[in-house]
Amino acid sequence: MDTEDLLLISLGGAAATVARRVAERATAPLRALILDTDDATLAALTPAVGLSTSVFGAKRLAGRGTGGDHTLGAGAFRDDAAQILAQVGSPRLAVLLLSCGGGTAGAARDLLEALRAQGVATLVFATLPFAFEGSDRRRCAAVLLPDVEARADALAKIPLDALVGADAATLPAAEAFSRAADHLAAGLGLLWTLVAHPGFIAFDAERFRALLSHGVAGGLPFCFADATRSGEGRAEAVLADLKADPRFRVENLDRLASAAQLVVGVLAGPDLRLCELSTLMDGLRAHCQALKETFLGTATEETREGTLAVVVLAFGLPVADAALADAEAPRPLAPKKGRGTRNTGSGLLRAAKSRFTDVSPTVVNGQNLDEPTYRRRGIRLAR
Amino acid sequence: MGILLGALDIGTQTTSLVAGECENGALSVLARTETPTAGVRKGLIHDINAVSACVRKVRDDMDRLHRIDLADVTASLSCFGLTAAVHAGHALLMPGHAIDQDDVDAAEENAQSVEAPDATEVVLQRFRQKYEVNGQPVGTPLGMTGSELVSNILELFVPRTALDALTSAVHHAGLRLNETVFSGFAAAEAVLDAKARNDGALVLDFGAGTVDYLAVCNGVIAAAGNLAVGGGHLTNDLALAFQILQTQAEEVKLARGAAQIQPDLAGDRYALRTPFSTSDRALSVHAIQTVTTERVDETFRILREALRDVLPHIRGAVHLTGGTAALPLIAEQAAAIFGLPCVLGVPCNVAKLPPEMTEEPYRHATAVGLLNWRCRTLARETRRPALLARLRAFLKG
Repeated sequence: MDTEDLLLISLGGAAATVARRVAERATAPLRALILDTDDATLAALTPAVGLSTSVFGAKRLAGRGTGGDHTLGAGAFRDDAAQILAQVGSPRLAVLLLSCGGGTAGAARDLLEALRAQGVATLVFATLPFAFEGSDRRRCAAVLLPDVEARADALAKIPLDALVGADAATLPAAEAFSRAADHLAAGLGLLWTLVAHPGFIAFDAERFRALLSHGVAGGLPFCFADATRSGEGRAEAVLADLKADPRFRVENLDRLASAAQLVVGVLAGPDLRLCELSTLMDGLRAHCQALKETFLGTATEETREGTLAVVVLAFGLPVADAALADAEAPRPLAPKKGRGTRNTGSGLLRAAKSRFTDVSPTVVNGQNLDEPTYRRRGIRLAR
Repeated sequence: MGILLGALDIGTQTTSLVAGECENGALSVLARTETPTAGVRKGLIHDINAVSACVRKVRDDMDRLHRIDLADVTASLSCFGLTAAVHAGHALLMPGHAIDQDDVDAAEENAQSVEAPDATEVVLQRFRQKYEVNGQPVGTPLGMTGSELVSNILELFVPRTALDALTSAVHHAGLRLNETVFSGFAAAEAVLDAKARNDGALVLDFGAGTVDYLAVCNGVIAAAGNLAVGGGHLTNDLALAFQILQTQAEEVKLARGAAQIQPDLAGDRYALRTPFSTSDRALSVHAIQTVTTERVDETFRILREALRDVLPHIRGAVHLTGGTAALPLIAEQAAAIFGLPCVLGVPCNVAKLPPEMTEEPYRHATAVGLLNWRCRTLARETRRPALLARLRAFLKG
């Protein structure tokens, strides 16, 4: 899978800032599409390689924002759906960034449906408004999230408060936003590098896609966090950081401990030792009581000599799902189809490689028949 | 006592050696040995030594288990890169001249392509098709008059490297190679009787690496070729769909794969066995069958498109052979797509088959067909000296 098969999509102004920072941080080539109804936001973005921007809904909104109205965001998307989907192309895996407090995120429902129809696997990172932003924006997010969850292959709800840390309340608002965007971008940048440039233990986008489509993770909510350390005992330090990371603490629940599936990405220099991987994985397994599957991927880069960066995606239902939506949303979370019947896999380091890598492809009418037919026909498999 | 014959079928997944006896033109199959193939992808030999070892193994097994020591074999070939082309050869006739064998030979010779010694492709087999006299199709032109005779010849080409590699692998294993025959032709030799040839039939030999096809209309081979897609693609699709090992995918394919969704099974889940641990991972049978049905459907549709000019002239059936013909509901799917009745091919031109080959006879069609072909060739060769002898006797007075 090349970078054309991976696409980062952001919806809304706040998500655009994060996407721009991911582009700065990712050491792998990135293809990102930044979508907004507000042309001023996009005009303010510094251009970057692989980054394309698109204003949509101009007929309806004349280049202005949605004013926090999801219905306007959804309508704007429908106006320009064909143009947006042409820009999306046909990636295998799309990572969608949403800031759920804003109205542009209302386009997410239709966008996710269109991606699903094209057979594109979707991983959604949705940020929840800061507590100080008020109940309106939080309610807005709570209304949108069930619809997003029903249409995404996997959804991470990330409270911005958790991204900033314990001192959020004492920070100036602009700095809090900036820090949140930085933290999210750092984690996503690591994840992107790992997926786009798999190392000796590969966890490429195709495996990610398969995990979402057929693995335990598919359809489950997830949390994610990252940690970077250097020096002696860096593996132990990273492990401790991850266990204590506020992004895994949602509504007073430790989502890492209750994870059913972990995706662990390790980025390091050539000095990465096997015992460090062992320390990390053993520590995570010991911490995660309900763990069924673990996927590990590594990537090494010369520039990371001496450092150990780890990004963890913890998939699983919270032990007691007292989510924000229940308290504030006018309707409950939509149940996920087949979640109760999901089966677990065995597969640490499971990897399926095509058997036709060392032979000329069978090409008929421009199609490579060595690629699975169901994929080329865009058929989604029942889990 | 008949003549001992050997047939070698080096498939992408299985190498088999079949011994037979030809007595007065009747074939009896004596024994069969097989081993998993190594070093072959989509019918192309990638590793001569590995293939040679497989051939040696089946030859030794034949000797050890059945006390049959084969010295020479007829082999089948179908591989990625096989192409087919029809060439027309012309012979101009004198007015009032009745067409004789020399005219036919001249037209056929003109139809055959000339092979350069350094050509990258070589002719694997040639099939005589229809004749035309003054533009009118005729069955046998001998004795007819006209100004022009046209002979159409269907030629199958394979990469020279593929044919050379097969020859080397067989020789390295200590066997002589009599002849190399297109696998699809061999399968048709086994499963089509005279009536099926007259009615018209399509033989699809669905192996692990390729699907070979051969269409017979009005007693002549109207089309032949292959598509480098086989049962291995079904396995690979499953492996990629569920991120499982190829060996696990093969097991899943054999256990739950089908060419159409089976409603009674689709709601089930198939528990996956792993070699290292006890696992409770289970795969949706509906998903498994979606993967396999899509592949089979696409493959048949591509073949239907390739055969669109020929299919309307077939009044008989589609005969499915090869290992992938064991896939449940594949005959039903083929019938639905080709619009013809479909049967699993059974070798019909043999006097006797060993019991182990009667269980799934369509799997062995290619090897049995090679024996049929060799038996027929030998019968022709033995008839020829008799004719010559008669001619010599006539000339001597």
